Amino acid sequence: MTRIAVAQFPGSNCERETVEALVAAGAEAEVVRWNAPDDVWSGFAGYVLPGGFSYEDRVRAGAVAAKHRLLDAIAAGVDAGKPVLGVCNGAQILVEAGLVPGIETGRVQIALAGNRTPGWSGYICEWVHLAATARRGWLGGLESTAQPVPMPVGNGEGRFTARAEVFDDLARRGQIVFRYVASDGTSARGAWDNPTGALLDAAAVCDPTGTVVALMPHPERAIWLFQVPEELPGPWGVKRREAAGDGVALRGPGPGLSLYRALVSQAAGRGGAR
Amino acid sequence: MSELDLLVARRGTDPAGETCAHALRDLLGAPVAGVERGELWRFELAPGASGDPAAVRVAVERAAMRAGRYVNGNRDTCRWIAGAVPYPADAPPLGVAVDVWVCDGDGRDAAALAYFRAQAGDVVRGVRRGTWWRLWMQEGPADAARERAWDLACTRSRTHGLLFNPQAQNAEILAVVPGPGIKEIR
Repeated sequence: MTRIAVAQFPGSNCERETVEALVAAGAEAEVVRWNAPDDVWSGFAGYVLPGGFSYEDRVRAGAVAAKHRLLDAIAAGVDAGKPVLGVCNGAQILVEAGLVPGIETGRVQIALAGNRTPGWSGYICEWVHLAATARRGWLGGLESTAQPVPMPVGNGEGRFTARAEVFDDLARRGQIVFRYVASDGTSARGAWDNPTGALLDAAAVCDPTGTVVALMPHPERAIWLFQVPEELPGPWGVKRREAAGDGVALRGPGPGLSLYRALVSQAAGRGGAR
Repeated sequence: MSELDLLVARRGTDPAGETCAHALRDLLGAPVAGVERGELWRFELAPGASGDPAAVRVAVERAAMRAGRYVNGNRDTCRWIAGAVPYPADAPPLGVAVDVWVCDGDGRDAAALAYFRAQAGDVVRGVRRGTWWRLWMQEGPADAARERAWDLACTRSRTHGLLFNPQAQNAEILAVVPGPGIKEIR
């Protein structure tokens, strides 16, 4: 079975649900502390950096965790083609570590800044809709990208930003892999479609090979159908309403599971099996 | 336009400052003896504003402390600073203190401006806020310490810089304060 490490920093708080998501996706997942011996990390076939508030967001979200040696081990894994997913605070760590967008190796080229958009600023906790706009690397394994994918977002610093030309370049390179969209799949219109104010409505950015993905919304909070709110517009809302009262259907896959399945599928064969 | 700078800092040890010092020293191997942290507020006053500047300071300070909105008097100290915060008498004499001010974007805070104008009057024309860091560099001379401090502040890569991400933040060095034991070579 494919072993995936869920890296836990002081202040991470989504590691258990991330393990559940990976197990549901067919992996053997394990929470590994940030200060585990260096040689532990090479025994895994992929890595997930979960959400939370590493180091209480001291200095800046993800900034301190990004300096740990563990990131060197993850960078070595990336070189070996092992898939990496950072969710929310995990995404902030990957950006602060220069693993995303990684156009110049190790350089910090973008930021995840405080949410700010006309009509909204500050912490946001809401369902949003995403469009998979580029199926790079292991995201090529996503089961379906035709419909917008609903997912919860919960952050205060989720605004992908940099100089505008940097994001234009990322878009050209196909490294903006998920964008916020309206529930009908059309371009985001305003604060409630893209509550972070991210440039080009970016919700996830990857490295040039598509091996490392920094994603702000939380797919692990949408792995089961029962986690989808009944009132949600779009096909997933319809599916959820149809499943009301049916325990078996409600324990069916939610919109976030496909992402973990794609990661586990890519990780298989990258070492780390027991 | 005249400006007033208000420095708000924790009483006693600041945990975020300690974490920053740990990251700089133990994760980046930087030659810092310590780190202090606070929040620096810069109040821009109307040009040619009449009246007593001391009265403006009192009004602003009172507004900042009202209901613990921006300054919690139980937890924080606040003081007006003009230029550099002095080098403490009990600090190692061979160190150099470098003060860096980091703002998200340009640091302007529209909500705080509206609040302070309502509380302290229209003489307040602008409010900028950001994190004030004092890096205690272990050695001089002052110019070299300034350069090293800037290198530590500006995040360029996984192994270089920590205090601000230039893709979303701005920073400036407010002061370089050599200890009394530093002999400047000119």
